[in-house]
Amino acid sequence: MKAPTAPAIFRHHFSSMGCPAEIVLYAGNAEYAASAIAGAESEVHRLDHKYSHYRRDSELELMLQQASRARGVRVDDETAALLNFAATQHQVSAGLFDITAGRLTALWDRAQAVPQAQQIHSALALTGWHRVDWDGTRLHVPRGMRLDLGGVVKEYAADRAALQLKSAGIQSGYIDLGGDLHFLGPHPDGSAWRAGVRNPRGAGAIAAMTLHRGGLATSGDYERCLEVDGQRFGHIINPFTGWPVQGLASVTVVAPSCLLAGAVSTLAMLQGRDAGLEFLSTCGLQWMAHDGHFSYPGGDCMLEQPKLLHSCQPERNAKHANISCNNPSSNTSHQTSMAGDFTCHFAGDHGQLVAATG
Amino acid sequence: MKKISTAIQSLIASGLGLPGMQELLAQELSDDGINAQLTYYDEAPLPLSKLAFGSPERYKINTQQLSWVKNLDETYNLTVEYVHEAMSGSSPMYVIPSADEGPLQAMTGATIRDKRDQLSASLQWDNEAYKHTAALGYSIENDYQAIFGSYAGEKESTDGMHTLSWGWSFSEDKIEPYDAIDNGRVLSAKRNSFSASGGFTQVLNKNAVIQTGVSVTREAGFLSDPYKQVWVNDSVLNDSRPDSRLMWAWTTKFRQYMTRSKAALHLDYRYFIDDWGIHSNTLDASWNQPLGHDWEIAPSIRYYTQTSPDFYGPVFFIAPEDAYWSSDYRLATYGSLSYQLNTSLRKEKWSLSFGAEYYQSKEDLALVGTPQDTPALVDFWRLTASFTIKL
Repeated sequence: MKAPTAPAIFRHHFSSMGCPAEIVLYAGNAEYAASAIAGAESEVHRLDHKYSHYRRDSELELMLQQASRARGVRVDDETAALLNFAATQHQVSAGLFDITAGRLTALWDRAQAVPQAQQIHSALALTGWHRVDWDGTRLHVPRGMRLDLGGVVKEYAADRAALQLKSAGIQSGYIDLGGDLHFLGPHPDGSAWRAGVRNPRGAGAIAAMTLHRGGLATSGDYERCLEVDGQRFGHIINPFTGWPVQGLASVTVVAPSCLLAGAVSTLAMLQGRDAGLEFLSTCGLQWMAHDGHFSYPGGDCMLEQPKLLHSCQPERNAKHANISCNNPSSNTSHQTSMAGDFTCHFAGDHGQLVAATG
Repeated sequence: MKKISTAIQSLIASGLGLPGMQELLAQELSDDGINAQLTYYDEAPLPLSKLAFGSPERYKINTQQLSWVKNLDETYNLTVEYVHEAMSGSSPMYVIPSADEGPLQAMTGATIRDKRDQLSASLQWDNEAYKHTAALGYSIENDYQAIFGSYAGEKESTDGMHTLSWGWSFSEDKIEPYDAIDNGRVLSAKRNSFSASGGFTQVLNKNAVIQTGVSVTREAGFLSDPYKQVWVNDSVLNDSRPDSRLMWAWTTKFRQYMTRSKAALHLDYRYFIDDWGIHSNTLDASWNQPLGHDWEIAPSIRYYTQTSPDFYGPVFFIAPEDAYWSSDYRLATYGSLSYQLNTSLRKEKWSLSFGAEYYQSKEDLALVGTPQDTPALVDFWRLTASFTIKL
């Protein structure tokens, strides 16, 4: 009888949804790995094309144009489910999570300085889920309103890509979409993955969370942030005030799905430090929050001592779209990838940090 | 997961609405586990005003059940179950006519003690849209042995809106009654049964499902009860029933999820008819209400009404020509009401449930047929406790 081939680890880097992405998996041979990876990558591109707010030709843009007409637009099932999920987030956060804050997000995203009160005021006038007519199938939005599904779609895409890998028979591996991760299952020997939590105020990781499977997502004020006179303004905007939220610097959550992990971390950020920490303490999940000074681990958070971790030095050569094969038993030195100016992930094998999120 | 806020529960529920999400998270819900269940069944004593002789104490049954489920691989799922039952009490033998007090029940005198052990295994496997379950089991008592087996198949449509199901089952039983020679009972006898069924489930909308199905069962061999006798024309003769029986049952089940209360209403109806002349109707309604903190409570009520077969009578003053007779109270025309309350606590890694049932049967609860005085009609309590741990 032929001995089964030991699974090897395969890595594939690509770029989608405006951030670097990586798929890491164990498979018996390269051909099998490549076909599974291709399926997962094309699923991410499909969702990017459908929902991206960077693309003027995305289906979301076309849908919004129709949605502002008098009769509104009938949306497909997938979009309806995403809108329903966003509506649930809006409801459970008493309006703090609001996908209609697209104008505000765009305003702060482009800003080189703090926007003028008048600019914020006009963007606020086109913000508010209560201004939207949504009955579960048909959507009508006021003219000029922008929907930002960015806080939902990337996490959903990580889950969908993981589903593609799972359907292809992959049992061990993960997908990392710019810090939103979904782990399919543990290493072939049953050991857990270790995901690093990035220090929001410095280089390297502050801790590692271990998990076998499920989603991991981080929200932070350090991505796409604006600094004025030492004050930091993140990209998570309070839809009532029009200003970026203050209080927590980053929140990382582990949940059965990346979608849920992302929703919980964003909702915690939106509530500020005290309410955010209280919300996290009742979420029943593993989480790790940082307020810029201190870390707050919570739930059954499987944290490891930060001193045991490698410090992660960034390297400026990210976008290599290839499949590489490493021997899983050898502890090759970890890689770090950079895109723009934030660390997206670290790679690693057994005993090493696989992903610092952010 | 530990204590989860309602906000997170809403997010989880809403997230599962996204395409592929349930499939992706299915791996989190492996069926591997062990279940232990205890059941205590207690029949009310026969009222002394209805007792001719013997002990009024009726059956008490203690049942212990242990089952183990293991996913063998992605396709196969094995379940092994062991059941032990200990019974004690007296049982009704026959009815004696009495001009003054109406018919009186003769009961066995000494307390009967018996135990039953049953071992069964079932294998479940999935094959794309098909799901199959095959089972085999063996049950043994001092006076009874049975081998039984079954197969059930299911096919879901590609859009998941309807499911076809079909199956069959068989049983081969052998009975060797106690004290057969002293009591003139059959020394050894066999019976068998074969059943086939088919059903259809339709999703009506996102909150309602209906299932309907038909089953046909044929029993053959010694179908009489060797421990029961009948008063026939001043003699006490052995229970005597036809040696074959053909039964039909039509079952319809309806499930409605209530969005506002997050509860589920279950409504089940069953119509049964056989060639002995029995027909029965069963209506079952239950309300499954989540209470928060992983608790659920389910009150339910069941109504049952049946007509007796042609050869039933409490007593026979003229012997029927075909020599079939029975005064088994379970064949009488009667009706029953059963009230149940089940509660369960479901955690990620384990679950616990408790149930209580009170059952009451009476002649005048019968909706169809003409009831006759049936002194042995029984009331009982049943209490269950069950614990499941996921492995």
